[in-house]
Amino acid sequence: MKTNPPELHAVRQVVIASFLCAAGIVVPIIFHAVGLGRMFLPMHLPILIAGLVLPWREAVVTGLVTPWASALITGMPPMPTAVIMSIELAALAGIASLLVAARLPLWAASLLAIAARACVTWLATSLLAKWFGLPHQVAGWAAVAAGAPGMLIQLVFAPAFAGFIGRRSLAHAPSERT
Amino acid sequence: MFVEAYVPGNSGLHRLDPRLKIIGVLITIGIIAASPPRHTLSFCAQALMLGCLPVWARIPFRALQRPLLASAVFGALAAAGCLIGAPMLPTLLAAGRLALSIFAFAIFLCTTPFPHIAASLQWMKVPSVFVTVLFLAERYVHILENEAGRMIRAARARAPYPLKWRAPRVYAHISMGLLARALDRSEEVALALVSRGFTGEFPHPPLPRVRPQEGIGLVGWVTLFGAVTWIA
Repeated sequence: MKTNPPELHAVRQVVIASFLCAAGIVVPIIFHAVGLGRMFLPMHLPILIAGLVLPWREAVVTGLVTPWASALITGMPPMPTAVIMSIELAALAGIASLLVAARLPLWAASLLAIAARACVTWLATSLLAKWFGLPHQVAGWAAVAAGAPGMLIQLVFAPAFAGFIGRRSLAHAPSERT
Repeated sequence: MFVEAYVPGNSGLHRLDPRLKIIGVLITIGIIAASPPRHTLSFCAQALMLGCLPVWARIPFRALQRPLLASAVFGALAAAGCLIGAPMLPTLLAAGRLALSIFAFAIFLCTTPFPHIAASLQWMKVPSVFVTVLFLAERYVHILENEAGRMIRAARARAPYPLKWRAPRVYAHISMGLLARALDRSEEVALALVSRGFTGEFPHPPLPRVRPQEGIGLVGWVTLFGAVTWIA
């Protein structure tokens, strides 16, 4: 079988990461247009897909960059939220990618990554709220509970979508994962 | 559909070097976060100083409206905290300080075009993969925005009556279609980029040298902001 030149492979991963990052900016705008933003965690969906289709380095970069790109281009999410979101999305994408690399099924990788992301959200929100003197006990649990419907949607759609697009043929051969 | 944060203008704040603006906004947010938790006067002085900046830079209020509305979440959180017994004044001041941080960042975004921010980040030696993804995402966000606009128009044309309760389903469908199109397009774009000699890093034009008066202006702002924070 003909293999792609390495530079095309590297560029393709960066471009896929960039497109998913752009989708992570546009999809929340669509959701917010009908008032479904915060509850359905629309930015998380493209990032979880990035975790399922990209190697962990590119996945983590996509997760880290997307909230900042959105904040820098559109002004949303605002700065402290972008800090928390970049940490949690990097964890979501990175963990999903590592679990897929460890040959877990897509749905199991998604489930564990979403659970880990919820823990990171709770921890990061509690710490930031404590630092700013806000009630951190309420803040952490409120942040996790607010996104419960979004977690369900991610769990249903992200593995189905990643399976549908055929991640191995799209992004890279399995032996090329690092 | 898409709202860009940058507001074109020619004020001193618009013309200030983007690297200095990044440093300035980070220090300003740091001072806000580190300011005394119970000093109402210090908070008011900070709010007054930051409130003068949009007036000076002629930023319309509607450009700052969305970030300020988003900071209402922290107000709600503070109110919930007060209800469960947290001390009222420090909690409300904490929410106010978060809103001020958001306000400072929003002013920075309103006065700095995105390519300048990307070039400054590259100059600051932020890893190139971050800057490249950020830079490419800024290009593609407009492509995907157009795609989404076309899909929304098509969905509205297909429905001769308002979407109402079907809206979430239709918009979810559009979102998934958008993701599929994004991944499809990324294949073609990668091939096109490689054929044009792209190696994974964008050459940014060199940034101009920082003028001394710009540096003095930044130091003056930081000193004044810090002084009113702790003296008030």
